[in-house]
Amino acid sequence: MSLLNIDKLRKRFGETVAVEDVSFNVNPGEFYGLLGPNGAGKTTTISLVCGLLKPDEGSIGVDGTDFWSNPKESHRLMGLVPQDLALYEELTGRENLEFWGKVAGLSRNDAKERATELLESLTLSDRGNDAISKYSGGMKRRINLGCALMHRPKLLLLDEPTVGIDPQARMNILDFIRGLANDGTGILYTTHYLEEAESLCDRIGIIDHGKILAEGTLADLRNQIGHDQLSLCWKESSRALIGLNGLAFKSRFA
Amino acid sequence: MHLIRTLLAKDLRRVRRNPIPIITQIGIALILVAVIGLAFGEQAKSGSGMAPIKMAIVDEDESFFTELLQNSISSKKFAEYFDTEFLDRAEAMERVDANEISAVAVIPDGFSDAFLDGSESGRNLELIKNPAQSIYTAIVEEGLEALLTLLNALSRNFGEELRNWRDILEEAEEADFFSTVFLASKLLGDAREQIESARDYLTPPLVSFESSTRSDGTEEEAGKPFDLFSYLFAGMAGMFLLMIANSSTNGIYRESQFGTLRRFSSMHGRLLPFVLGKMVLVVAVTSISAVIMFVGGALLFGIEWISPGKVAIVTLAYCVCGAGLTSLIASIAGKEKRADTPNTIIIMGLALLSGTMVQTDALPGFIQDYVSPYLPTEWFIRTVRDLQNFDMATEWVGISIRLCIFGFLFAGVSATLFHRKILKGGAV
Repeated sequence: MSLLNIDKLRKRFGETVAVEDVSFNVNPGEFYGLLGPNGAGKTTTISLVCGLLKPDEGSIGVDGTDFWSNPKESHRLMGLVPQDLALYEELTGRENLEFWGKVAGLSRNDAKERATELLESLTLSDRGNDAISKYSGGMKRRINLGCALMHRPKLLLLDEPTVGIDPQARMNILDFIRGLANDGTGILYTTHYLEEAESLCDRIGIIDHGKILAEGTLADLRNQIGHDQLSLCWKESSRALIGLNGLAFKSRFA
Repeated sequence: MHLIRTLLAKDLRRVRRNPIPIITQIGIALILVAVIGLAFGEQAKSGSGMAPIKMAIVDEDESFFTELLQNSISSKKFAEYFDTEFLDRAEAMERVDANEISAVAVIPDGFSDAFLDGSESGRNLELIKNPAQSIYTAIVEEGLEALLTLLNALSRNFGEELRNWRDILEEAEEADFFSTVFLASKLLGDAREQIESARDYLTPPLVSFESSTRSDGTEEEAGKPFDLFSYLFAGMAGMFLLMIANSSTNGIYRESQFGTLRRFSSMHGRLLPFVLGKMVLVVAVTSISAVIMFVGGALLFGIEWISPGKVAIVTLAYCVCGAGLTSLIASIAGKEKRADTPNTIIIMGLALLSGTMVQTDALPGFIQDYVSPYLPTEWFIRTVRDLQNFDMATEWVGISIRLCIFGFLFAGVSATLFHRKILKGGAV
């Protein structure tokens, strides 16, 4: 049974269609990547999945139950790592972790223990008692990730969690996330970095203008396309897709 | 409850790390007390909460009538409010120039005769105001207007009798004793008949007021002098507490700005605990500010709060209501910058329509009947004023409960609006 089952999801903001007929599923221990340029509908999809937005049409199943029929339980099963940092700068890394753990329903002692464990896993033990305002961008990103993991969610939703950090910090975070998937956590990961999607994801959904254009494993996508190289054209240069060897997307400005 | 406690503990920790915003908010209370202190001066410590106003009377008439006036002004009751000296014009002007007195009332030569004879000229009293003491002179001016109303009423209703009294008293030394007594008793009888016939129109409010206060067994309080200083203070506290609540509610905007509100919403569908957690902090800050204001008012300006316990409970309820109201405004506005101007307008509007600056009686009839009575600010201000000046056996309890209910109602609506905005992808 899928951990997350999205079926024909649709969301409009006025006249703008943000998400149209989006369907996919994420299994336990699977790393699912939603790949697309800025404004493609990735964040809207994640927001719909975690209940921050209500879909106009379609359904979201979490661990076999419709999200909106039991939102409390669905919230308990998932953890969201938002694109923008959602931390309290005045509090320390440990205090942020403990606070979000308690908000997720952990007892005081459990929150303390789990915070210690995560600080170690995220290699932040020595900085756990420093205020977030004193952290580097990469350290803040790690704590931002840790806050979503405090209650040990079965499904982790990551909305471009490595935006704006240096390559080394990015590698650390991605290794950590890969480890979570290996331990059985289902992961829905949005990115516009093609190399991240290629190296991490078991399956990839390519999204643009709110629609899933292609979906499957790397091998599936190759088979769907029938070639090692695919050229996609966008009318606006800002929406140009990134090039890649192997499963190759080449940008060409119309 | 566990969640609200967690949220509150987090906010208190943040306050401890960065106390400047809260100190600034509480500082508003100190500034209020200081501003009123500067306006009314140290003299406010004495008397009925406000120092007696220093004024001079220049009696250029020097008649029997103005002698009566001098005697009544020297009475103990009048002295509670006015520190009056009788001076000649030149000396009085010197005292004004030296900023030693607030105003000079001049009774011109021939005033009594003109007043009693009803002649058109010579009936004008002169008021010379000290521009450096605008508040006090405004009070004197109001007082003088009230006095003129009284004199006009006397002239219209008892003009003939007053003239006869003047004649009797001025000629008493020369006339024989029995005819004087006879005339005096006839005048007294006529006056009594006139007063008796007018009593129903002149005194019904006093009669009903006395009977209701006696039934509560609080005759001692019913006789208390009106406390102008605490009257003004209650109105200003109503407005400033709302401003402090609004300022403390800014935490909600920050949570929205930092994305923590969205993160919370992604973990809990309902935002009521979040709003209530913020409300508790806002209530704590406004309550501390209220303590500073009311205790500061008592210590610095000698306001004697007649029912401090009742005032404290009503104020706490008002803080709950204010916190709910400001979080409702925050949920409608969404962003701090967008909220700044409407918030100020709403708070000032609520304050003015609730009698903060002027009595609600002075507002247009429509507002008196259909707006002011429905405003929580008005409930609070009126209750504190009434607790200070009249007896309120139980009404304050009902008003406190009503304020709390409205506070929680506002919080509920606020949480719903925040949630709906998030669900619609609005600016939260």
